[in-house]
Amino acid sequence: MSSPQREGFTAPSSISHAAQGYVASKSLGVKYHCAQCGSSFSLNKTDAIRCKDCGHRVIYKARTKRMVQFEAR
Amino acid sequence: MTKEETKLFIDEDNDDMDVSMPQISNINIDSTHESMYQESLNEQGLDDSDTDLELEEEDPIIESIPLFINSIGEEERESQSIHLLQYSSKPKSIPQTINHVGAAVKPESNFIKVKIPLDTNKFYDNSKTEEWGVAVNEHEHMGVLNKTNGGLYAAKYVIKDGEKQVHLIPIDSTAQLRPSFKYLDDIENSKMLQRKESFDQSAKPQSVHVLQSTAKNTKTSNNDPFVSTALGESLKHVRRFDQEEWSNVTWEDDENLEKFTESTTKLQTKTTMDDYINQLTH
Amino acid sequence: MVNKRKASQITREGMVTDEAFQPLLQETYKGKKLTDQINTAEDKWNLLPAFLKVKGLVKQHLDSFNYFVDTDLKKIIKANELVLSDVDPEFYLKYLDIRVGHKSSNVQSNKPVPKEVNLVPHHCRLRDLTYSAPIYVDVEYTRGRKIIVHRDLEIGRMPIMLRSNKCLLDGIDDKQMASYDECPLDPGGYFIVNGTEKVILVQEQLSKNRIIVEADEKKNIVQASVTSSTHERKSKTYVITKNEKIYLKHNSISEDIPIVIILKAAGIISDLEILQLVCGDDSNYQDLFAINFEEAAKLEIFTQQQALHYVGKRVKTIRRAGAPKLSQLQEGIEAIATTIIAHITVADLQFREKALYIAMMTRRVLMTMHNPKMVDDRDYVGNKRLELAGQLMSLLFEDLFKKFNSDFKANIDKILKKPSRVSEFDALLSINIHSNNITMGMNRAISTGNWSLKRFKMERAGVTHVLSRLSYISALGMMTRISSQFEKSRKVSGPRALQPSQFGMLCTSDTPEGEACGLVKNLALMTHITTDDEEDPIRKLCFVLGCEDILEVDSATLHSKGNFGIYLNGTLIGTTRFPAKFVSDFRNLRRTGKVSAFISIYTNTHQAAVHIATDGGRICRPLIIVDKDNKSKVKAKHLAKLMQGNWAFDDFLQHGLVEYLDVNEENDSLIAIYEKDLIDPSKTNITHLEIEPFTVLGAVAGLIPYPHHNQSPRNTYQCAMGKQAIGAIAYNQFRRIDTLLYLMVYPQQPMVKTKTIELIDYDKLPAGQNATVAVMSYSGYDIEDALVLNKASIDRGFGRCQVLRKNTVTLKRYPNHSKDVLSGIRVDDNDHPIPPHASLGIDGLGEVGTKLVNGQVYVNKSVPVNAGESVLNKTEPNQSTESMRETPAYYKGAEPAYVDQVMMSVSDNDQALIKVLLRQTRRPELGDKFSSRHGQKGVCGIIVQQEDLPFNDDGISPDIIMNPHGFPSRMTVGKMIELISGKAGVLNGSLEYGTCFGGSDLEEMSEVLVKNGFNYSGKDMLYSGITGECLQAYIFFGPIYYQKLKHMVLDKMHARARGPRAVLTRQPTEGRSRDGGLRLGEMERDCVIAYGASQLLLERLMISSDAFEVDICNKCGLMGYNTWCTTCNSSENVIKMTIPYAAKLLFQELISMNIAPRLKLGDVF
Repeated sequence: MSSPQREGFTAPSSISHAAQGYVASKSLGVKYHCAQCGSSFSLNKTDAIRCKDCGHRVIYKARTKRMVQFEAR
Repeated sequence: MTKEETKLFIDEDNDDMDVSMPQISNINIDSTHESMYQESLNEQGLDDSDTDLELEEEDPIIESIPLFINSIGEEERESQSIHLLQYSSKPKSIPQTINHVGAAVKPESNFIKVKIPLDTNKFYDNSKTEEWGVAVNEHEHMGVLNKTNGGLYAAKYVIKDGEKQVHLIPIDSTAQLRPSFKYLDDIENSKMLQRKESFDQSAKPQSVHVLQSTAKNTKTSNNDPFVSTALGESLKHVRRFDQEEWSNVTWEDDENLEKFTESTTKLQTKTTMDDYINQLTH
Repeated sequence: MVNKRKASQITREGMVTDEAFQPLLQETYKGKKLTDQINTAEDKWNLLPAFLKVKGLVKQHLDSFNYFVDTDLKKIIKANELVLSDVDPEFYLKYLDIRVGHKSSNVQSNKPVPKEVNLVPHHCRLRDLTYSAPIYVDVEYTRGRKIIVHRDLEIGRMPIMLRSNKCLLDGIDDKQMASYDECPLDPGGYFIVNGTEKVILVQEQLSKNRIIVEADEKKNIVQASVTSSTHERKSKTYVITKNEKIYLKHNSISEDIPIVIILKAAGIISDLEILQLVCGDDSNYQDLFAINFEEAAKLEIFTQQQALHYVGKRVKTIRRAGAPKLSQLQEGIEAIATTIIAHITVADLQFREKALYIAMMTRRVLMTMHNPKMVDDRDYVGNKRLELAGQLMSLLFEDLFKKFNSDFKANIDKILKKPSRVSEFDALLSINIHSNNITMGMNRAISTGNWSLKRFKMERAGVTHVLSRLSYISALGMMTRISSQFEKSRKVSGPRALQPSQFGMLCTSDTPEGEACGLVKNLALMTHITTDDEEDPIRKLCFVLGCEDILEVDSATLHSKGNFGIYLNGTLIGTTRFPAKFVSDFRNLRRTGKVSAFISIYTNTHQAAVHIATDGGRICRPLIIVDKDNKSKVKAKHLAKLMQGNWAFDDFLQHGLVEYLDVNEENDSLIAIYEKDLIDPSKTNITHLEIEPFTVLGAVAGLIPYPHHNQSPRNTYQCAMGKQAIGAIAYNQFRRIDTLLYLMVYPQQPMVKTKTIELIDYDKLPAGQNATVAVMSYSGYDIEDALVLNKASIDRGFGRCQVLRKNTVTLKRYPNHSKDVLSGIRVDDNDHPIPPHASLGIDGLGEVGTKLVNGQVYVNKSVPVNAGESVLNKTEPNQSTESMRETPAYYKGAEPAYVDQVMMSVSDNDQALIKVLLRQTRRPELGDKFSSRHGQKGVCGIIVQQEDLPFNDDGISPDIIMNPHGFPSRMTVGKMIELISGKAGVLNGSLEYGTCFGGSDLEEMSEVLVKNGFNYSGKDMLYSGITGECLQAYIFFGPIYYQKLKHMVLDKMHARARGPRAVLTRQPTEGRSRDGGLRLGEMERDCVIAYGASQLLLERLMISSDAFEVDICNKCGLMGYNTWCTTCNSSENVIKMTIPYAAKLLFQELISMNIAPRLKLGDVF
């Protein structure tokens, strides 16, 4: 496990050949939270990074809805 | 200060500065300082022991003498001023009273010059006179007049009407007078001049200084914010001093200084010690 | 709870009182009830929290910055107030006022001025911005014939020190702090520049404008030197001896000038007066000095003019262009008036002060020649000044402001030069153009730490440091750190040694080991660093107090017996014949608050001098005043007022109960450490009483319990390690996105606290856990300080920590209107994301909370291929996907991490800023480093199942087993006492104290143990976990506070077989981060050679490294290729062989230098 590069999965320099299609990201339904007012909203690709309610310029990505499994140890 | 009318009071008590018996004047003044200080202390009382200055026990009040303050009137101010002169190099052997040949001031530059006759009988090297070709018989003493900003007084202790009195009169400035050996400088200057002339005759005129490149383009100096192109402050003083004319002043001995003791109102402090100190420190 | 507990402070020989401890346990210092008896001896320590409440731990930084912003800026403006034009003599611009952070209109009334800062500090951290406030000036200038006053002109932005009076966080409560996402325990005192927290460390320097006399006894040289520092220049003047004669030396004078000539040039013409000024009537000094007159006489210099000529001839003229040419005489005057001892100004041609200063220096030299013991000590803390953020900022600002003004002037001149102008010229229009200079200048200096000032030819690097947020303590320790200007390489012990004068001012324990040892120091707990105070009122006050003006003092009496000189900031201003009275009067005034509390006055009988210091940078500390009859001025009633909250620390100061003493004035005092010393009849004339003896230590050393029982280096080691301990960092730690953050999952406050711990709130942000320790040997995996850890403890969370790492991605915009974008996820045939994209969201950013393994992408950024192309030949504005190149951010690491936060924002140049915080939770593993608070570090040697560990009667098994061999040589008795106190505390349900020079008494602790059925010594009977038998010896067993240090194997482990190679040499890369190889170095090579293992050598140095096959021509000896020799044009003699690639490179390099390295090949066998 020593070298991060050697064993297991090695990052390919370009992954374009490895994939079939792209999931384009238009309006994606990914939620973001404003750091100031806490409101939740989604952003489009071309949108400026800005809270839609208060105009604050720091936003956080909301936690994933996927199931996350932790190793209990 | 007009030239002719200017009088110079000299307090004889104040002007001696013997090596062995130093500075009676200043001690005098100093003691007035202290007595004032204590007086104000006495008056304001010692009610608040927590915050007050404590009078030390080793310093008891022996006697209280009333103080009288005198001043030169407004109109006389124009023509008169009082200065404390200290002759820092006068040996004890020279008598207290000094015959002054003359005195002059440069009021703008705060400079005073006093001429004193030189005792040519003792310790006088006549051979030098011949060597230099100058007969030195008077001595110039010069000094800077330090403005006092008030607070410095000449004091006189008199017994008037059977009452002990201390009379004060404010001093405008003090000066320590030092001998200047102008004759030496003069001799040297003339020698220099001679040498230069002969040098000029013998060789091509050359500047003595090796100049650093003067024309280092003026632009850099403009852009450099940390360089002042003007003469230094001290050199400005020198120039002003050189340009200013000496204005003669007349002496006034303190014997006929009736001003000194004319005041009859006793001095009373109005300001409390606290106020005074606040004034000083804020 | 045992009530009969003896109070700890004054225990040593059984002198004990029984009350007053319990209330201290319940409520640390505030909640003391009124009915409780107040014991001044015990409770005077409450002054310390009161002091820290007013002053805080970083008050010196805040004070200095506040002084700079409020006072110093105005002085700088005043000194540079006029901008004139060379072209138009009518024109002028004058600065009237300067303000930082608020406009002039906001000043009215008593309302607090609103603070005009750009953002909340935390948002500046998040958005990589600078926390700053605008600098406003009021100007008055001419426009045509009119004079116009313009208010609130912004000339730049000033970085604001956190928690200074211009900061948003000043004077707000904890709730508001929370609303700003700020930690109320954060000390402040640092800047936020481009998102990083920067500290300007305190710099230690030799004091300016003071005479320092040194002697070299071997060379028989005595020198007095003074560094004059004014706004314009900085220069050093020496008075030195050379062959028993005394000379003046200065950088701008080409040769040393005999001292008599200098004095004559300064107007003291008569030899008699020189003698009087220098020697007084002491015949010893006169004899020593007489020789100096000869030299002047030989040179025939008698008058001032001659002397000035002499000096003027030797002045090195560095004339600036445009400056007028000076005559020799003028040069001389200029040198005397402004160059030599520059900090004394000459007005009205009154040279006396300067002459006296030179005479004083000469006198000091004479005194040292006569008695070599009269030298000054450079390392004495009283001769040092500390330079703080404010002073450094003010130097920088003045420089920038001058530059700003000269640029402005140049601009105006350019416009005014134009002969015909249509409109009236408004100067303000050209002032705004370059207004960025000041802002950028300040930002750059603070963020790079390079202070380069043209004025002083100062070029200092490393002035600022990034605030270490490794732990709360490391941040705090950084704020109290003092760095010295001494070079680290010089091998001198003096500056590094612990100076007795450091007592109470600088921490005695906290200094790094190694090259910076003793050069980097830390402030003690209760110190204050002064800021500059006005000199003039003090001077006036001195004259009122009976000081005779030096201009009126006769030279002959100056040094007469009993006459003391009065020196204000090193300059003689007068004399007094009653120094004792003068000093005590002055002190009384200070105690009544009439003059600033930080002005110090002290007498030096050797020099017959009374020194008054008003300058900034002196270290001082508060002490309780003791009155004439040896009674402490602080009485029970005062302390009662303090504890009721009616009085603050400043009230003690104002009522003259407590005063600040600097190092020099401490020398004038006799300070009792304990109140009991006051009763001691053998000690009379005690002047002061220590507030608390444990304040000799600083904040970091204050964490150590019972440090007075430890061998001193151990405390020093702990000071270094306390800063590496993982713990809670701040209340806002989960909101912070720092490059690297270590957090402990379950931190605990220590069982054995100290008062310092409470004062610095270490108990609220602890870094460690109370481990039950058995001091015994176990398993053999505990040699060399290795620790045995209990697996069950680890499972329960012992030593568990989180590592948070920030990764920043910016989406840039390019000049050709193309920009970086985020691409989405790539999917495979089944519409599942490809493995590298498994934890990406559809927006191309890592999903918050998902796991990342090595090689996975968390930001899928693409950059345009044609970003470099110019705007002109851009044909199609739309960006097709073909023209984008993917540059994703991969996660690299042996262990997986989780996406903790994804923050998006916009930096100041309108580029999108994405910060991804990755989290790892780590449990202790073999090789992780732990340490107690006594400089006893160790790595985890083995993790043992709880079943196998020894246990006591109650079934308790230890969390840690420590090898007893750690004790004898280390002599950390404090650790043992900590264990006993901690054990007693556990049994008692109380937290115990291990405060330095105090703390819970060992005997009492033993009593508690006995009461609870334990052995007094802290030893328990244990049973072996393996055999179940009772162990042969009693085991020292109890809780000790253990810290987990940041050094963890996971970050260090490294191995490689094959891997990347460097491009140039084709040898394996170096370093863990590049997955490098392990070097077989020179010394290892030597071993292999000595052993004769030639094949091993060949394998290690060539085959496994950079073997390379070359074609060598045996005829010409040069290299060819493809079995062809290009030199001989044949393949006849070409032989293939293997050489190191580095050797091939060498040959080629030699060839390039026209040297032909020819190889001659022969058969080996």
